[in-house]
Order: sequence, then C-alpha cells, then structure tokens
Amino acid sequence: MVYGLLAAAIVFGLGAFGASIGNGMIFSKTIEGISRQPELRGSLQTTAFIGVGLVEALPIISLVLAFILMGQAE
Amino acid sequence: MKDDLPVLMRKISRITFFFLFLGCLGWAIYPEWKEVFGGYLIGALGSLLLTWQLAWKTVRVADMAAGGRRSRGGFGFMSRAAIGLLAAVISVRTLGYDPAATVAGIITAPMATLVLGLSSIRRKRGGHPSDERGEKQ
Repeated sequence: MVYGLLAAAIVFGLGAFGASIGNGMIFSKTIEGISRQPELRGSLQTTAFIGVGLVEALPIISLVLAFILMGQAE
Repeated sequence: MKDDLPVLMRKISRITFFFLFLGCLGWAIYPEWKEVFGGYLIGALGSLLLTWQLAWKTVRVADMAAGGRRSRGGFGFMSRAAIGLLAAVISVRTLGYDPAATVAGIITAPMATLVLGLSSIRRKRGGHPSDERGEKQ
C-alpha cells in the first residue's frame, strides 16, 4: 500500500514539476511578446494556448494515473 | 490583429463532439462495453471543459498583458487538474467505469489541439513570403 501511494506521489509530482516550468516559460514569453508588440496579440495567444494545452496534458494524465494507482493501493 | 483562437477553439470543440458522438454510437451498438464507452465519454467531456477553461484563461492573461495590468492571483493549473480529477472520480469511483478509457477520453481535446496546432504551423511555414506584408498575390 505504501509503495502504491509513493508511486502516485512520484507520478504526479514529477509531472506537475515539468509542467510548471514549461507553463512559466510559455506565459512569460507570451506576456513579454504582447507587451512589446500588442498588435501580434492574436497569434501570440493562439501559440501560447497550443503550447500550454500540450504541456498540461501530461500532468493531467499523470494525475488520473496517480489517482488510479492510489485506488489500487487501497 | 489576426485572432485565431476562437477559430481554433471551434475546431477543437467540433472534433471533441465528433468523438463524443462516436462514444455514444459505440455504447448504443455494443451495450456490453458500457464501462469502456462510458468512461471515454466522461473523460472526453472533462477534457472539453479543460480546454474551454484554458482558452478563457489565455485570453484573460493576454488582455492583462495588452492593457499593462498586473495579473491577479488564481488557482491556475490546480483548477484544471481538479476538473480532470473530478471526471476521473465520477467515472471510476462513482460509476465504476474503465480507468484506461477515462484517461483516453481526457487526452482527446489535447490531441486535437496538437494535430490542429501542428497543421496550422505547417500551413504558416508553407505560405508565400509576401503574406507577411499583407500583399495580395
């Protein structure tokens, strides 16, 4: 049971760690770009949306997997 | 200003609704696989909610950056993770559906985003150089 909980924690922790770094980089560059050139806002926000959508898919999947692992550990 | 995000969101929603339709069709044709199709349907619905929330958040951040305002604090990723977890809890714990099918449903909208994003990048690269200057060919 302890191993299952540990596996769930590692899966979600590492997934969220990578996604937090990726999200921070994407949004910081997007805000910087929009502040420099507000006329490019449309294309920049679309690119940011695609990037964040892809980056966040992994931690959400890892969260669900962690949840399933916790369920099996009980 | 060219705003592609509403167009992209409409396409992603359409693709996800198509997969939801396929899930309903599968459930109707093969009722004995109810656990698989039910889990997929709930996961795909959750992923659609996630994508709508992310689009709303992206537009809000862009509005604040364009207006020179500071972003207010929010739950960010936690709210989206909570939506995914809620879909998983409803599907697996409450209704007893298949966990793997739920995960497959949750990645439906991100996969649609990936495919549409890559195709739009390829289309932009293949464009004529004069497109950037707004000239007609």
